[in-house]
Amino acid sequence: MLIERELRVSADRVADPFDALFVREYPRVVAIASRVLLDRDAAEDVAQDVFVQYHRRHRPDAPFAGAWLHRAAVHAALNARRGALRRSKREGSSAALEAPLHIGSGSDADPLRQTVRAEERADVRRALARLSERSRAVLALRHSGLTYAETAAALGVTTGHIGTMLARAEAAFIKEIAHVAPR
Amino acid sequence: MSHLAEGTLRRLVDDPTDGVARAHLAECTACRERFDALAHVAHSVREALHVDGVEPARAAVALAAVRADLLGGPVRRGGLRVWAGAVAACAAIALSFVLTPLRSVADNFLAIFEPQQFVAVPVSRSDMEQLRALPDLSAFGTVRSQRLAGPVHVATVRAAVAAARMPVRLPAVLAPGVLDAPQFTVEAPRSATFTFSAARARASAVARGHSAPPMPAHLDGSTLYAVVGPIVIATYPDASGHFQTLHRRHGHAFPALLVVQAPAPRISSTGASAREIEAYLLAQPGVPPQLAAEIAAIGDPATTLPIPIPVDRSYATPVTVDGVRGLAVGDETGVGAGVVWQRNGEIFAVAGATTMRAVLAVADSLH
Repeated sequence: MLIERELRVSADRVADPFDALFVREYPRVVAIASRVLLDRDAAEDVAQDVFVQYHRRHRPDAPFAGAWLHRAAVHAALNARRGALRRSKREGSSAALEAPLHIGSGSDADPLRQTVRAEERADVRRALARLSERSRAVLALRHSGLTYAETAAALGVTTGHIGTMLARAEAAFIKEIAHVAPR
Repeated sequence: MSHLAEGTLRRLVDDPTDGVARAHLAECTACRERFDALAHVAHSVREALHVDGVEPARAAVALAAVRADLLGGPVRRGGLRVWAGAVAACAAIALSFVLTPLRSVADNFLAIFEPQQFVAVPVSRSDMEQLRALPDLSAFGTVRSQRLAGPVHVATVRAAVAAARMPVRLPAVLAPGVLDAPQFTVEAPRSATFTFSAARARASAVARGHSAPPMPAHLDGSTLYAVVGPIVIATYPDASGHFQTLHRRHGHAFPALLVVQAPAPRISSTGASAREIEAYLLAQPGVPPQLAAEIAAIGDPATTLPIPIPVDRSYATPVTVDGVRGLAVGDETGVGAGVVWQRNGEIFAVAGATTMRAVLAVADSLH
């Protein structure tokens, strides 16, 4: 009985509020940044910076914590992408657009399938690059599993707008995919 | 009824609970066709934007990195290398002259979630031998650590504060025969994760020819993340300017005086509790049963750090120091003494080749 009580006590103190926030939101923050950047390592860097910024400014149990993190994930990822584009322009290459693709399933052993997958990823990257930042944001947020209300909170619009924004962003994306990768 | 707006239709793809819209859809072919097209597009976009989820172990490493970042440590992300044993680093460094380097259960794992108190566990010479023969953490799972900067050696407290990015307390009183000319070592914050693996534990038990107890299913795959440091160690020289005095009988070099301070190490877990981990580790073959029983009896392993004390040459006693409860550890032969305590989330230790009275006077004078 004593052991049971202590087990509970230990479990209760496993995570402090910031750790709990991190464990809950980190996967989604990475998912959002990944869908903007299409580069998993860069997305993780962005996500970690976002949490560091949050910790310096706000309490971990603030009611707006989730929305703040999601919004910051989109903005930081878009910023990181702009930075990469600037660098590649300065260096006279398209390195940022042609960098290796780290997202998606890496466990495919078949080299042919890997190549096809990499090509598809490159198409996705080029199609996204042609969208407005607002469209990229709504796609990244909603397709990372945020609800309409959460997506709206992160974008600073009302929930009623999300359906329309999403439908337009998706239509634009499909059009651009068809353009960059005519089948 | 007029046709459904695009936004309403798109929302219906994700959330079919809108009864009014669904009723319209059932009657209106035009809207149903628009709905099907939107659903098809949404599905294609979802597929195209698929990304793999974050594994818990990866998230744990990330949390450790963020924690280290917040502590102000120069973290270089990405490069992970094996690093173990820092869990009890604060206590171990301070008391290293009594605690011969242990790669033992006590040193490596007795999980400190955030140590608030220290309890002495008497360890016999034969216990020590047995503990030393135990495998390290890598026999039970995967250890990953954040690659961090090495220690920095500086000669002024100002430089130490700058390197550690934390306030440093120094004693107003020194032990007799100690020169007030400290040198400082600043250990950068370290973070590490450890993921239990039942398969690994089984394999290493077989390799050692043991039959180890099965790892509880709850432990298998659970990850601990630890953040330790920064650690500031002030080392004072003796009257002749030597920083270490070689003691002939023990063959160890003891510092004249050491003052160690660090934020209390923190370990968090993705599932397993400190009590479960302790129970599992203490049940390993090779852990002296008497010792296991004593450690298990101490109390909450989430807040208490057991410190092994060799019974044949040292003693340990609770003391009041710096206004709080601490643990004083001395050597029966008068070679040295040390005291360790936790105050406001920081761990302090004072130790040296001197008397317990002198060590306590130094500890009480920190400011």
